[in-house]
Amino acid sequence: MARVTIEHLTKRFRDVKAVDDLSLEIPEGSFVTLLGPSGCGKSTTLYCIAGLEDATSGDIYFDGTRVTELSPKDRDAALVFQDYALYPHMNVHDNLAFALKMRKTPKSETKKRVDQVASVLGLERLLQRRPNQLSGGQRQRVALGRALIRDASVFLMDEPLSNLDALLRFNTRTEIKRLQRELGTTTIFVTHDQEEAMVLSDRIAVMRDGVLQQYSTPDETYSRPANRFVAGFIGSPRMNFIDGDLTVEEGSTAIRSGGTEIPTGPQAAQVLGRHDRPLVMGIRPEHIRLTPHPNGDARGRVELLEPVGPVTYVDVRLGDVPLRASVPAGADLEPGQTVGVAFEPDRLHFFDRESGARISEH
Amino acid sequence: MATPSLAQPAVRTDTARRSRRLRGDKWFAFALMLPTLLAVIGVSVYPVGYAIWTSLHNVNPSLNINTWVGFDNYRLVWGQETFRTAFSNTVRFAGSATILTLFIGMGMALVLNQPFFGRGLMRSIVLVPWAMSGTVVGILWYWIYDGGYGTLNGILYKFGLIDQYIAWLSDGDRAMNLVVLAYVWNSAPMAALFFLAALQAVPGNLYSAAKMDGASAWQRFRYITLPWLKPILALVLILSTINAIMAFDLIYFLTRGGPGIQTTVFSWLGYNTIFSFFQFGQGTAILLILTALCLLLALFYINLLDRQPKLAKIGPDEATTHDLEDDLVRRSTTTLEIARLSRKKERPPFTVNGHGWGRSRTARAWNGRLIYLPVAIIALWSLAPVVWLFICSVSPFTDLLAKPPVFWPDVTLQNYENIFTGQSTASTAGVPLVATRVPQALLNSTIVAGSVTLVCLALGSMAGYAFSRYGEESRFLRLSLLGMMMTRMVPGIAIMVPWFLLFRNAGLSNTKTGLVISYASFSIPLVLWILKTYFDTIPRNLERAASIDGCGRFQTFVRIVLPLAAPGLVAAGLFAFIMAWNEFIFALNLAQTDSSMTITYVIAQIYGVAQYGQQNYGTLFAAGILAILPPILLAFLFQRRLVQGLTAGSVKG
Repeated sequence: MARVTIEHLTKRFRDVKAVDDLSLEIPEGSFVTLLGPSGCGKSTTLYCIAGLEDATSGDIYFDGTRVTELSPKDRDAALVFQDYALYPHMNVHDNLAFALKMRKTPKSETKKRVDQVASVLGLERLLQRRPNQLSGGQRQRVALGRALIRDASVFLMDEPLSNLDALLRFNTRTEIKRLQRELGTTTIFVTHDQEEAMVLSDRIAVMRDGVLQQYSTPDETYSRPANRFVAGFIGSPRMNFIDGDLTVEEGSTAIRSGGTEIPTGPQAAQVLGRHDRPLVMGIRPEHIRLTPHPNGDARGRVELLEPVGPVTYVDVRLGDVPLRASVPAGADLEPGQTVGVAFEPDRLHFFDRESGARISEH
Repeated sequence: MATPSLAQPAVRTDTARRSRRLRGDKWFAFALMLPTLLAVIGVSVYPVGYAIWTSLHNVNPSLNINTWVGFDNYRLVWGQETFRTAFSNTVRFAGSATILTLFIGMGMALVLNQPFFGRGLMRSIVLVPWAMSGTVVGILWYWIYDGGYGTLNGILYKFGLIDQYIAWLSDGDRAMNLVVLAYVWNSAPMAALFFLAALQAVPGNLYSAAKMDGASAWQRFRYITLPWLKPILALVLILSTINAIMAFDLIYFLTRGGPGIQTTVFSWLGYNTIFSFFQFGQGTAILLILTALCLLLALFYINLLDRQPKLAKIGPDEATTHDLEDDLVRRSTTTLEIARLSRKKERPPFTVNGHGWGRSRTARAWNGRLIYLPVAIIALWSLAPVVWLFICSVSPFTDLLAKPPVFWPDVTLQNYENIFTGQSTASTAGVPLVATRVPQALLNSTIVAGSVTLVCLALGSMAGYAFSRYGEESRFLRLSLLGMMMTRMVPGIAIMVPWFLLFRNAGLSNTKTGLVISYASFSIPLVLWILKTYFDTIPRNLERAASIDGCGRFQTFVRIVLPLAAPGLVAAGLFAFIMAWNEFIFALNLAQTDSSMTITYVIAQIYGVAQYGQQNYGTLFAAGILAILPPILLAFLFQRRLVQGLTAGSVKG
């Protein structure tokens, strides 16, 4: 287990900056996720940590020791590949044992470790099979086992769940979390799935175009996104964004957008006080309240209902502004109906319209 | 409401329709394969049978008297000293040539698989020696090794390494080694091509995974690359060995089996017995022994390398792949055990135990440039002889015969002009009459090689498709595929005599048609194999979609499958074209008239005149350059597709 420090890491491919001046501190034993859309540089970062890619500039430290120029072998990290990269010509046993063989581990020790890992991952009966005789989930577990077997300094995982079907992904996610908690190995996990990141991580590093956007706990990332990009990336369904101007009239604050006035809470006034540039207001679907019998507030028209079981997603139009709300299942709503729309005042987010940066209340 | 009586017949029709469709599939596959099967039987199986018959008779073709002699011919040749020498020569030649071809080919492929600037160009350049015909390789290396004027002598002399010119090929041992060297120069690129194609198909992640597992560069080669190359290794080994055993062109041009019989290999011995001593029965017997040798070797290799990997047996109860049934509680305790073990050891903070040598940023930058050293060596090895041939072809007569040779001659196009005008001038020592046939021969070669390519692709693609889609299910198809591949193991020279007689009886002697038929029959097995493996990679769902869109089976094949197989078709077509363009033995013996002679035949004739009389080497080299231009041009144009076409197939091996 190691503490991983990344300092001003930059990686260029020809003219493209895949990673741009990234600095991160990953505490020993913690689970950190690199999250972002495809092409954001998260996998490149992981490969730089693994030693498979050379950093163009900047440094990487394990426990304070500079490893930037070490080969993968000397870094002693374990990597789970997205496509598993199992050796097709070796059976499961040999796949698991390969790393130990390369390190000239004694046969008896190898056997013990293989048996142990196989029993942890339920692979005992599959040891003689080749990768092409395994199901997707079994391959995935072999890939995990290959990382587990060698007591690595750090686990690196490159979208290990993306090739699994939904149910399996859910179960394996739990499994990975449990294993990591029990073994306590520092783990860096790459994904584009915000839900995975939320469920698994101690901290999430959101990246975009090679640049770190926010590095914080899942809760903080969800409730205080650093900018409009993070706000839109975290949470499903996506946060609603409304371009508008804040108005303060006779003590009540409202946001005016496309001829509609949406009342906001008193907090918004504090924002207005210090910010006179164009802004964007954000509200998550789960923080919109719909009332069947409108009473004074803003009125919207229900356009579409999408029940997903525990909740129902509702598309509402508020004047010209389309919104998506999430309400408990069984709400008495119908398409075409007029409803009252209210926002939970302390759940509003404000961003600078131009830079996208969060406008803090404090 | 549907009554049972109504439902019953519906089910029956369904089954009937289903089996009718299956039977249709079978007939369709058979129809696709039939032309190829007939062609192969007609032009391979029949001649082999005829050859066996010939070897059991005392044949006098001019009097048309054939006497049954049983195994006398075999007994006779077996008892000869020459036969035993030829045997050991063949083993030595083929053995060393094959091993060198494999190693050099593998080395080239490994280098060409690395990323470096100009890689595409380099991949074309290595193909140059392969695209050249054995005849031109022969005259080129003849000139390099020549004792009187040769390039090798010239270079060594110029640098003061020798005091006087040496007749390199007059010593048996040395002659053998030099022929092997020239042979490997010509044959290594094909091995490299197949290896490269297979290397391209290795998922890059496997190497990353191995690096993460701590494998060194050597270990990655040993544990990832080599196992991956194993299936293709079998193929390359078979092709290289068979080709080396059949090697004829270079012996013909470089040593003619001498000095004495010290470079006489089976093919040369058989050829000479038949065409110099007119011992048809004995010569054929020798060549059939050679054939048997090839077949045995092929079987041995296939057994050795192409064994199916041992797969674990999966019992029916274990076949369930669902991960939900796993006993989470039990596993949880084991994990805790591992955790306890790890914690007991209490992992110390990370420290560097490797030396980390050569990993600094500057060192890595230099490491990246190190690849250009082997690249330069490969470029030199592939190109220098050809460039020298070109320089010679634009050298005046006097420069060619100068001692030491003139490496920067007064460039003249006279040699080329002579070929096209038939005029001789003072600077070229006269132009042999046969040189004026070069333009016609180039045209003949183009027509022959082009037709062979078309025939091979037409027949090979149909049969390849049949094997790819229906081969697994039908035992008949599987066996005929094996049979056809086996015909590739029969040395062409072994069935020369039957061809010779067949052609004469059918009026195909000295016709282009005759050449096309014989070349096509040699190339079809390889074309078929390349295309079959390529078709294997095309998803079947595309054909299902086409059939839903209303395409018939044949229409689907023509409109959907063939366009998608373009890289495979290019690769296979290129093989067929180059093989036909470069073929020598058949051209030498079966097509000697103006309207049928190919460029390889004409070059052999000019060579004969130049060597034993007029010394007009300039004309010879100019003709050589003209002869290698078309195949080299094609190889350059289609190099990328060639590798692609082979790559897709090599995934399955």
